[in-house]
Amino acid sequence: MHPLVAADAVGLQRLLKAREVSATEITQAHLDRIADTDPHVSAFIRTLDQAALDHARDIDRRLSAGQEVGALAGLPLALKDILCTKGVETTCASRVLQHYRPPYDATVVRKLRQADAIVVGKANMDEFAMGSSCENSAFFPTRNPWDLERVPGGSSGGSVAAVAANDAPLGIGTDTGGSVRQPAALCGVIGVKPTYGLVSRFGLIAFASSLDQVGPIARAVPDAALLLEAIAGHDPRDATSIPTDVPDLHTTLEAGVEGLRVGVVSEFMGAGMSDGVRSVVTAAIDRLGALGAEVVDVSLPHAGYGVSAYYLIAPSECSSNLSRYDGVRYGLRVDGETTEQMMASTRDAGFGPEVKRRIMIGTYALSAGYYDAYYAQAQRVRTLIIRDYEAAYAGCDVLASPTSPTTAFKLGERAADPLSMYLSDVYTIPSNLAGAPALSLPVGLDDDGLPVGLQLMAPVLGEPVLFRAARALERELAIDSTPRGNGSLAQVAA
Amino acid sequence: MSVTPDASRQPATAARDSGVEQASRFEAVIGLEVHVELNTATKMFCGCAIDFGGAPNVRTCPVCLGQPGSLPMINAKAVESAIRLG
Repeated sequence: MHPLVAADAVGLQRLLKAREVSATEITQAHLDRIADTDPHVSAFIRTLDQAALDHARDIDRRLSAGQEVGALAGLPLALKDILCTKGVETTCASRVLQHYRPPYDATVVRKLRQADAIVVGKANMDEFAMGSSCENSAFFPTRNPWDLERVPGGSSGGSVAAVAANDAPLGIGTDTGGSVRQPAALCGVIGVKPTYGLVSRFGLIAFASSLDQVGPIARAVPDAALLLEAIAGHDPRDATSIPTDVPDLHTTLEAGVEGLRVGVVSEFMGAGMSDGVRSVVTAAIDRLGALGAEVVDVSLPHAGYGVSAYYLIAPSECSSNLSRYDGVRYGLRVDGETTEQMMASTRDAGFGPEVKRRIMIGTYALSAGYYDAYYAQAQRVRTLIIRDYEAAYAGCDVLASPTSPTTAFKLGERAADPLSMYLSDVYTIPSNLAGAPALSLPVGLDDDGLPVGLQLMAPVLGEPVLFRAARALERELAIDSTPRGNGSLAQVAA
Repeated sequence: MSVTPDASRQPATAARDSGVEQASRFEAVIGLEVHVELNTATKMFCGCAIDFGGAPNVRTCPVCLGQPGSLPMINAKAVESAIRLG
């Protein structure tokens, strides 16, 4: 592997600042890596080689002229294909948007460009971010770099697999019920779901607006912190954006966990978890204790209802958000004899089975006579879960649990059983319902040599303590994030 | 259009009531739905100007076109005016 693609973002930044390498060299090394790995991994729907190199040359020109460059200058980044990029196809991995070119940049994309990050490609995902395996992409599934016969998780499977495959040191995903954290756990990288409202949703193609949040993906905690600082901040174009300063994650990043109280969520350590995940996660929590954190048990009594509430709230919001894809203004149009037939044919051809399933569940849950029994009841459960978290944080600084009940599963293994797929997100969904930040940190491998993720959670706007705890454990464990072993990318792309 | 009354299905009193008597059994409830065009400078959910007479497609943006990913932002002046109107 080329040393520039093995390096983390902070390391690349140091080399660039010292003028030991150019942004063009960094970018070319990553484009070459993508050419080697992506035939096996299929992380990208489209790569942006020319635009990436043009941007890199511009950065080099400015550096030579002694001009300012952005905070992410020269750092390659995989962008989930759900964020609008002006003039560049943005598909949401759906046939209905297959040839859609947005007339504008998402706020996150604008911030990334201003920070001089190099967007090397638009990454694959489950269609409209609905799924936990990346198999719901209308185009092709993405594969897990640790075992190419296994899924990378989802829905941000493409961005995560790209970072795990060393195609880019940084990735951007979105997390509605675990869509950054679960794939990060399954691919052995770091994935963060920030506080709801910390990162602008303007230009993020909506799935469930009260739950969606953009999050960073990286192979090192300081890299994830760097990326979050670059994309966070108030946006007057998003009414749910929090009018707060960009969080300072770096000042306390190396402060350690001594004196912190870490609550282990009892409800997330019970049945349904694989033995391998349990032993690796338990060992990681013990290490937090050894580093000086006080580890206590806490309870989130209503968290067990999270999946049920989520699968009413998220489909309800999706059925409303996706009604705009009617063949009239943009995207796919399948002609019909009448307007109604045109709309019905367009939606039938444009949406895949999981998207249709959720539109139907949501439409049913919101219909007259059922609203109180389903949607309103789910919102009450949401309030109870928020109160559970508030009670837990009265005595703890951060909470800990596994990210996913299992390690990566085989392609096709859960595709026929939606319920088993939905349960992949049983530990991640409650944070979305509560609007609170959480991240997944790789903490070891199970007996099959597959990565296990530890989920750390913090109160709303508690990102500084979240990153501080993750960094302390990362430093202690010194995990090698390079995919290796039987069936892994290492056997086909050196 | 003429309607032939079916005498067998008429209520016993109907034949005796005059039109005025029938009308007196109803209570008139009249509601007015009043639409007011607020004098804002921009549209309800985005910053586009609301002047008439410009070139086609210049006072549009991703928000008022409902482009994927765009988000509405409510016009504060319109909310203020609506509250004042009660």
